[in-house]
Amino acid sequence: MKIMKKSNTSKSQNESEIALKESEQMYRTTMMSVGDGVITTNTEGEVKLMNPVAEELTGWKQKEAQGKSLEEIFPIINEDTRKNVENPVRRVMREGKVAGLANHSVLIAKDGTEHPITDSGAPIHNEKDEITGVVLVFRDQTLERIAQKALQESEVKYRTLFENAQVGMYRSKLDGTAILAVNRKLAEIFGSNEKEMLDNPATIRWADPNARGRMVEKLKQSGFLHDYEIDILTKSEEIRNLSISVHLYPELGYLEGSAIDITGRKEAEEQIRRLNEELEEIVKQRTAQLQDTLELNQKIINSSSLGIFACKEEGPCIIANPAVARISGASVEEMLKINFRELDSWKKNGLFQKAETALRTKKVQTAEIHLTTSFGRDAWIFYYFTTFRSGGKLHFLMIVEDITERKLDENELKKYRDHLEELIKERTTELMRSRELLEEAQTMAHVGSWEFNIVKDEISGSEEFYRLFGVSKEQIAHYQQFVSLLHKDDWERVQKDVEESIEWSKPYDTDYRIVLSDSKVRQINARGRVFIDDTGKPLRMMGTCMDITERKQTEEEIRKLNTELEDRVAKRTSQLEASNKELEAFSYSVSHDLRAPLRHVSGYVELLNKHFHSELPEKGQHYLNSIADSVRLMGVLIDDLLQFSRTGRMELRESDFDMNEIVKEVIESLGKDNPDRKIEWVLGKLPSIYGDKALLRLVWMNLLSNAVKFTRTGKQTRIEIGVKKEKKELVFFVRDNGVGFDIQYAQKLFGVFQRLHPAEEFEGTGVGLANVRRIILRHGGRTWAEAELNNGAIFYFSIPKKN
Amino acid sequence: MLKLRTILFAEDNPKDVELTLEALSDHNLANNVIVVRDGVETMDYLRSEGNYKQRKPGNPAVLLLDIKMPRMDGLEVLKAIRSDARLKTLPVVILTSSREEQDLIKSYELGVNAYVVKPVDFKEFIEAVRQLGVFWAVINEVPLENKS
Repeated sequence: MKIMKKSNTSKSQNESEIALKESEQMYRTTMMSVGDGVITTNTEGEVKLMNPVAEELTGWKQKEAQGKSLEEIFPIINEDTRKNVENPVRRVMREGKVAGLANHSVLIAKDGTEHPITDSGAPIHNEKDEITGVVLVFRDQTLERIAQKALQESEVKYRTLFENAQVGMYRSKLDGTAILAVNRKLAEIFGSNEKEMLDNPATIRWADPNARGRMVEKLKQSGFLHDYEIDILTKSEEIRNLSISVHLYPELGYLEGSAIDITGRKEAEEQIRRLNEELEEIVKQRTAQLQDTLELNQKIINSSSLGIFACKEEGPCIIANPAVARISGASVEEMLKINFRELDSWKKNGLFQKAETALRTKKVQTAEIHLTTSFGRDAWIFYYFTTFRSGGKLHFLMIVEDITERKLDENELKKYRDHLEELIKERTTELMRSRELLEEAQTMAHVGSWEFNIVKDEISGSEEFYRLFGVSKEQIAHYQQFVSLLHKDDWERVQKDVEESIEWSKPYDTDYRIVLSDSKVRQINARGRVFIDDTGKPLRMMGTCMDITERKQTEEEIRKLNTELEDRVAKRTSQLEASNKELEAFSYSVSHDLRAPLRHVSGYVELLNKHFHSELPEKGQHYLNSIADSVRLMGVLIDDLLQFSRTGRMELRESDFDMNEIVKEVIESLGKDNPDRKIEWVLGKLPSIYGDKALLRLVWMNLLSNAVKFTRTGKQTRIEIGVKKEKKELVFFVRDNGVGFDIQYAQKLFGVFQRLHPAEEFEGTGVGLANVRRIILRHGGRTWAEAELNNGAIFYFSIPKKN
Repeated sequence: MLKLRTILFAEDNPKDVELTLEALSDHNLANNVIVVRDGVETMDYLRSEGNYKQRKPGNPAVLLLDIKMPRMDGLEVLKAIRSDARLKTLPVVILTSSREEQDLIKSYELGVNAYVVKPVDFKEFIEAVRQLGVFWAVINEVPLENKS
């Protein structure tokens, strides 16, 4: 157990000195270990002290620099003009107050290297308030400049890509009330220009006024849209059809999208559809004509006095008319059952050889045979053999004439053949013309069309189709050839799409990549549908394909750039967090360690005063009082500085609350602190807002205590508090009728340790308004003030309205 | 007159010790103060171990505890006290230079009875220490088994 005894005089004085030395040692250590360069000079501008950072940046060592002029050790020039800049130390000496350096200053080190820097100088005062020197604090900005430049370059790259993209791109607010960004292509689509569109969101017009609502609804469900088709109205009232892709960013409050004008493509597809229809109509007509021809044919055959008889190459008869039956002495039905290869009579009379020769040589064969009919009549018969193809098979046709009668009109058959040939020629020409038209339309629209005969496994396409695939007709004649041209990764998916489409007769719409002969990859969008027969059996697929390589590349590039930017932001954020942590650790140790020696100085001064008051001369007591005053001020400064640094670092704890409530609390507490003051408070009705309640209470405390402080020299104090509701923000204000200030210093008001009145008149450290500005900035608002000297002041701060 | 009970005062800085005792002696509160220089010594005293094996049994009326101390700091001491069955009801007052929110939160989470920031101004400091001494050593009542 220890019992402490009271100390004696010499020990107390000794302790006081040690404490002061410790305090000085603390500052020296702080100066040597801070991350900024620090140089102190005497009043002549000669260097006294440099910390290690200053040594590194200037290239001068403390030992060689000591006593040299600051202009020599710390030469600075303007980055742009390369002219010398006045050394801030000179300005501080001349004006006797804190001076900052102009922007874009460059420090030239001893070895000639240059460092972009920011700096400021402040006077050093002795206890008599005389300037004994200047302390210059500066910081190397090289890394910040490089980082800033890289960010700008990336921004420019992204911007250029955005502006020159051949796809229309835009960003707008979710509610459509403002267009935030738009590129030239999109403006072109709308028949407008970028500036006009940014100024006026009404330039985006929809052909159907309800279409946007439907689109937004769909967008909200999925968060994005791809290839969504919608009609818009251009400035000249023209309807255009767009395919758009939109991404929603609800947390950012906007949506981003791209648009392609597909009006042309639509028209081409429409034209193809129309041509197909015409083609079908022609086919129908021709089929009807053929049907007519066939009927006519049958009539001719039946009514012909010439015998007409036709057989397949392998034997069975397919055509036999009444005339041939009559000549042969049988019925038509009996004739139709004949297989000429099994007819013994033909082998005997040589007709079999004639038929065989005709089939083999495809040359006309004739024969005249004398025979006896079943009616016992002698007859000379003329046989004429020719061949034809039907259903891909070879046949022979035999014309039989009873030349005994010699009454036949030989012209009839010839005429009929000519007619048939004419018809076929006509039809072929028309089909050719249709096809040419189709090809032309497809080439214009860069759309290839194709047909896949499922039954025969045959693929055919338009010229544009072969151009897109970069192969000849023969290289893509079958389905497996088509598959082999695809990118390997797409094989399985595309085949599955095709199979499903065939199986369920559903429309086919898919994107795939094809690998060209030079290994380049082309992106294709293919669409088509399946045609089935009456029984539902799939016959063929028909459709189009389009090159979408560029569109895909642009989309990919944008996605990449976005990812890069996000990475950069994340990196920067974690750097900031790290430096915040360091600051926190620093201020924690300041809070602990800087206060203790101050408390000791205060304590020992008090003890000296208490126990040896009578032994001290009046001057000695005055000294002690001055020490005590300075210690008290130092304590307040440390507390204010710590609080200021804390308001910048603390996380905002935001909630909805009533502003009236905290203003009333603050007024009440100020009333208690100033019981002898009579203050007329004029309090307007304030709204509820969303923000950090504790920090905003501090804002009101600072503003209102300032108002109370600076009105105390007047007769009647009136302080008015109110709010103005502007379009995008709420502007709060405090108006007083106090001493005011000179409006030309209004900019300085919100800086740290800035004061516009001498401390003897109005106490304070000059941190209050700096805190106000920091807190309001962190809420996204602004601070400013208006005043007239001796005629009151108005302080304003704004808080953005909630969306 | 009310009975003056023991105050255990944990503080490593001799100047703080001297100034605090000076403040207490002005109000005749210094005689029952026991000074320990760090956390380890504090725990030794409270558990009657090491140099304090022979001390009179019983807990002090209050522990005035600094946060920043060598070997074992104030918050560690507080944690040890609150998890010791024989000590957990001991009144503990943090007496520190730190006004940091994190220290305040941690102290209250660990179950401190009061948290006092040492004022820089010595007159205020004397007043604060006087009030602490009077309240904890004279006015405050503790359960019977805690009494020395």
